[in-house]
Amino acid sequence: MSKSEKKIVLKSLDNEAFEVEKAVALQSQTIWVMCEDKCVGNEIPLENVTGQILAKVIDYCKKHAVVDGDGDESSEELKNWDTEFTKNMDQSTLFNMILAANYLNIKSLLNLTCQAVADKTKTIDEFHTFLNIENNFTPEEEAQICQENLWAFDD
Amino acid sequence: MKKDIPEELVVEILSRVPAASLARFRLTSKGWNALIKDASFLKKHSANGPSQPLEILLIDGRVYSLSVDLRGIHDNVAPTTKVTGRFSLKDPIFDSSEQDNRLVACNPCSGETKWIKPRTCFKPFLCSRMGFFKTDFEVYDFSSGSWPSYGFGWANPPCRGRGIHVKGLAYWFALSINGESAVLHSYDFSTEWFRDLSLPSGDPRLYAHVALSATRDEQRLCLLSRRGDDALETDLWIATRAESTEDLSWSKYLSWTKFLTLSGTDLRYQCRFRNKMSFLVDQEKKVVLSCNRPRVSENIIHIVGEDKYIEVDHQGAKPTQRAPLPILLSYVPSFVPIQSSS
Repeated sequence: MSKSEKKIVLKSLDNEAFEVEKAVALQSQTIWVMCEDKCVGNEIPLENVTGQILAKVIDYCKKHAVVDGDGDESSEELKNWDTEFTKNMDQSTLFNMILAANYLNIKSLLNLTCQAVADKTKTIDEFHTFLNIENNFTPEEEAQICQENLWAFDD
Repeated sequence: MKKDIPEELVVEILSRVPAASLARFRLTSKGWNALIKDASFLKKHSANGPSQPLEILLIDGRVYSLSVDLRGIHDNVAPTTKVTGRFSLKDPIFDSSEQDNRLVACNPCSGETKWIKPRTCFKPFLCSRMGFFKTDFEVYDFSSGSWPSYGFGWANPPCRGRGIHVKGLAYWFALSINGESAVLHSYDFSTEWFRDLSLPSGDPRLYAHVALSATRDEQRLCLLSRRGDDALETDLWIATRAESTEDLSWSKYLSWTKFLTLSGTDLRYQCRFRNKMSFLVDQEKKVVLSCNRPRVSENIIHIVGEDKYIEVDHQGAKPTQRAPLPILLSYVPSFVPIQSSS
């Protein structure tokens, strides 16, 4: 009991500090390992995450934290909350959420955000902008692939 | 400024998009095109990706995707069906292999086709992504490229129409030799078990005309049955798999619910219902889509519900003399290569 009441401070890349319950923060395997190693004090610096993104990650972790006597949230409700959570995020926020979830090693959040991108991104152009990659096909190669996949292109 | 996303995260995202999007995303870049064809990626995609079924039509040996819009069907808005794209397969596939007695396995997504030589001359009942059958039910093993010696002989041969593959199981309608009872033969691809399952009733008189298929969204087994040529009712049954698969009373394995009774439906439809008819069920809209044996070549999808019968032009190719019966199927697209799918 005393353990879950203990609070720690997470500090973002841009020096924003967030005080959270330990049970909330420990959903991140990365933070969990840091705490286990006792290599940090009460304040954990997170060098890869901005305050704006970290705030969202903490919202997610708070909702998903299993604290004693607080497990009355049904899985259905949680799922709806997850859907709402990612629904209005723009591409750039989602992109940074994926990187943050990966860095902090929060598997369920990584699954959720990757799925959200997969659901939202329908066209190749969207993927090009999202992932910052260039099309390096020649027009002939492009036509060849289109020809092989007519069923997927004709809508 | 955006950082680059590590490849492992790209894989995480890509493994979650539907197969149709994946096919489009091959155009993203050369690197992605190679990744999408990679075997370990495909394995991840079949685990994470959504299994959204597509409607496909087989016309004259070619496979087409079909888009169906039923949104306003109960608000006097005419439904539409449209053949959208053709899957590019090297060879056309035909329902009957009378010409050369070979079987063909194909994956429309990847365009892969594989021809298989049967052990003996035969009349095929069903082909699926994973195996082939004949009257005495032999199973073809794709990994070894051979017909293992074990087979299964049923006293009651399947009859009345085609078999169907739904969610890892194959089903055939069968009558006992003395004609006194009707059963459903099944083969489970994961356990490699053959067994008989119960039909809504064992009374063979109920199944003068019968056809098997699946529901569009949930891929549940369903059965259309009609008593006889002069019967005015066609029943649609949907099956639920019983929970206790350990239960040895095989006949209890399936329970059936009568979902629709098409009574007094347009006589044109009743006349067209034949054993080999292919159909799909839309559970939400409570309608049956079917492709019936045409009297003359036509490109029509029939949509029938409790109080309606609509013929819709699918705007695709017309069936030909060579393959007069178009086949309407629900298909969950997958890029998994044929060889490694066993």
